[in-house]
Amino acid sequence: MLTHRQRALPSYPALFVAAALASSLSGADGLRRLHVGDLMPEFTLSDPNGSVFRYPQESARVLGVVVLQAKQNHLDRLVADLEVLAPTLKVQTPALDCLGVMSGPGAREFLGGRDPGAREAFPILPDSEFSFWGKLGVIAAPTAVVVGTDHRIQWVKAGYGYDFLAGFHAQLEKVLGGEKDPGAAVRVETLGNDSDRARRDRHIQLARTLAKKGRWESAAQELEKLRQADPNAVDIALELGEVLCRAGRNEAALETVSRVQAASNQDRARALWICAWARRQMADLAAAESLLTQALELDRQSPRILYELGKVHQTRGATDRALVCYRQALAQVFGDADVTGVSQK
Amino acid sequence: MKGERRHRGVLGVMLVLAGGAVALGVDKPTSAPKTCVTAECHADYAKRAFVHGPVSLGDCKSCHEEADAAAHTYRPARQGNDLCEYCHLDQTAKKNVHEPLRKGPCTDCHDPHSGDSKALIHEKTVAQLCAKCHETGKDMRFLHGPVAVGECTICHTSHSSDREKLLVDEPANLCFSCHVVTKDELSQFEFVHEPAKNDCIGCHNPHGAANAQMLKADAPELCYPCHEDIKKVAETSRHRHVAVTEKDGCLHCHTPHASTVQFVLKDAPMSLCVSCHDKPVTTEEGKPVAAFTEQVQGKKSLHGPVAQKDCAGCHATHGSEHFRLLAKDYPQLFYAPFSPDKYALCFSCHPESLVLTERTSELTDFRNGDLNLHYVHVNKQRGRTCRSCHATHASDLPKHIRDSVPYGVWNLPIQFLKSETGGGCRPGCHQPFTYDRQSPATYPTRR
Repeated sequence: MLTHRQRALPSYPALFVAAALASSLSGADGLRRLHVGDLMPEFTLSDPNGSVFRYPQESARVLGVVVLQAKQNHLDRLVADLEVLAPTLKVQTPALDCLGVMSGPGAREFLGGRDPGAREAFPILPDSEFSFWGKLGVIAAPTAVVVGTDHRIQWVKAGYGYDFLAGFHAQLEKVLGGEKDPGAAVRVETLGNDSDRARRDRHIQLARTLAKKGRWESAAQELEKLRQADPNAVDIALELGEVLCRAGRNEAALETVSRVQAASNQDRARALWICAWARRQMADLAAAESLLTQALELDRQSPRILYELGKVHQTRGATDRALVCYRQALAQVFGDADVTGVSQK
Repeated sequence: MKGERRHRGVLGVMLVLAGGAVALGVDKPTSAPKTCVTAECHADYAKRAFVHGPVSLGDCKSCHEEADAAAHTYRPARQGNDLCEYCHLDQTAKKNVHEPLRKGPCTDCHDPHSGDSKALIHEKTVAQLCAKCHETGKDMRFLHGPVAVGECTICHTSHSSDREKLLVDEPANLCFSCHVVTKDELSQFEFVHEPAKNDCIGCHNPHGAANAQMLKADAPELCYPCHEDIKKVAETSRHRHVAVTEKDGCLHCHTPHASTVQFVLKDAPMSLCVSCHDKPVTTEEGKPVAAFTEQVQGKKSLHGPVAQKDCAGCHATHGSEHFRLLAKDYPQLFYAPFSPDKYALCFSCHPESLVLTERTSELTDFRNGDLNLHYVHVNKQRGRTCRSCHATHASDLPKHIRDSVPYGVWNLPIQFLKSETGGGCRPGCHQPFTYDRQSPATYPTRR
């Protein structure tokens, strides 16, 4: 599998800072009075309409709560994100309470302006007197807390940083029984198409497009350039060998593919059938058949080898044997060729 | 009119060839032969690398009909474009037809009989043929692969297309037909830059450019037309961030295609910041900024955003009206009288009530009984404020309390000690005090 995903490689200073921070994370969990592993205290909050939320409830449920305050940074953006996230999670499992608590002054005014749909998607309960804030020992808003069905705090994060929402989402999924690594959810990876690998893939693709258009020489030139840059690349040499065969440059194809040091059976088989293809076109049918027999031993599933063997038989005039090979090839592509009827047409 | 032109073109060729036959001393036939491609007459038509189908079959009557057998003159079997479209109708049936095909005869580009190049084009390569009208790639330092190898028809059809610019596919599909892995992987990233989804040519010139990656311009100018709000902040703020405004600015921190984190960041924010701020730097105004790494290295207590590696918790990364690119007000001078407005930065995460409430048992642990000692500190004429006691990035004391406070040329130590239920300090600024939440200390009454 080709991949251009790039883990953001930390620079030396970044590693230095990361190491420096790793030893001093005293404030990282964000609560003064509670820590990960502690029991979540009971609490009761009521919304502006008088509905009461009590924790814990009778049945064991996961709790995800985000403590907000009316004057905090980027409040609207965060609430909008949570209004999208919370219903998604609730669809996955109803055994989840995902809500906000807005502490301090301004909460009732903010909450009064929310539309009913938003309130249902992500309920926010006022904590005007900071009682919930104090019970947990919140330091800053927003602070997210994830509590498991055993009522123990599983995760705490303060500050609406780049990974706040992704972290909250991933931790809730984990507590709800997900198998994904929450660390992976906040790991920074980027799509980089300026790597050598990405460049190489593009040229291969261009060569394939040229080949599809029958522009064999141009396709071969593209692949030659890549091969010069990376003479040991097996896939490029094999791709080039095929194009050279199509262009009728059989000697060149043989010269290219015979140098390949393939590691896998599949690649070795491919090298053999490309050589066989070139040999057949050079009317050396005995050599071609021998190569294809070797290739079949390495890769019995390859319709391309069977097809090529059929071509050898057909060139010899052995039509029946050729048909057997073609049918076998089609069976590899379509399943049972006789059932599909493809081979009979 | 057009038909006449085409007619004349084809007829002209025929007459020249007929004349050629005369010049070679071969008697031209005076009755219609079965085929003209014979060893004696028009043999050359069939000898070139690529031969038009009817010529290779010797079926001249597909295109020619007899005008006067005795005079050995022929005319096209159909008029104008109909001659070629009779067989090649599909080439002109689309919405947008290539200008030469719409205005002129097919023979402007193709030899009707045979040629040395594929598709019987007059030039050796497609690129040479296109270059007769299009100066694509001229003076461009970085060329797109298909342009560099002269394969215009990778992206454009030569005759007609339902898409603008005679593209062979929808623009995004077209790019992804070579950049196939990019397409696959874009679907795996949560945060994709909008143009990367379907508008590659929003940023890249599809033929080539003076800039690497065939970008239409260097960042940040490339990015500004869409991100006008950022441009305004970056260029007109009182305090500008050079990392944004310099060449390739945006790309220092943002990846142009996709990322697993929001704002298509290239890395965690702090890692991006310390790529410059691991050492002292100078602002555009010539003011020094100390190395961030030195301030946090080995420290035992970190400010929340530092612990979360999120410098943007306090700093506006693109530009700011506040010193040190701070997101909101925060006094530049160490000693400044307290007011909530001046510390808007701090109160964007911590509630103002933290310092404005005299009695509390919920808001803070810095209290003697229920007396909020934050309130006591800030509500004085002399500026004892957030920064008087807390180091902004990190310190060795709990709650990132400062080691010392500046006082003229002196640094007065704070000597803060935290206990299970309270703490105390023996600073240079006042006599030693302790506080206890459960068994409050008694303080002398001030006059």
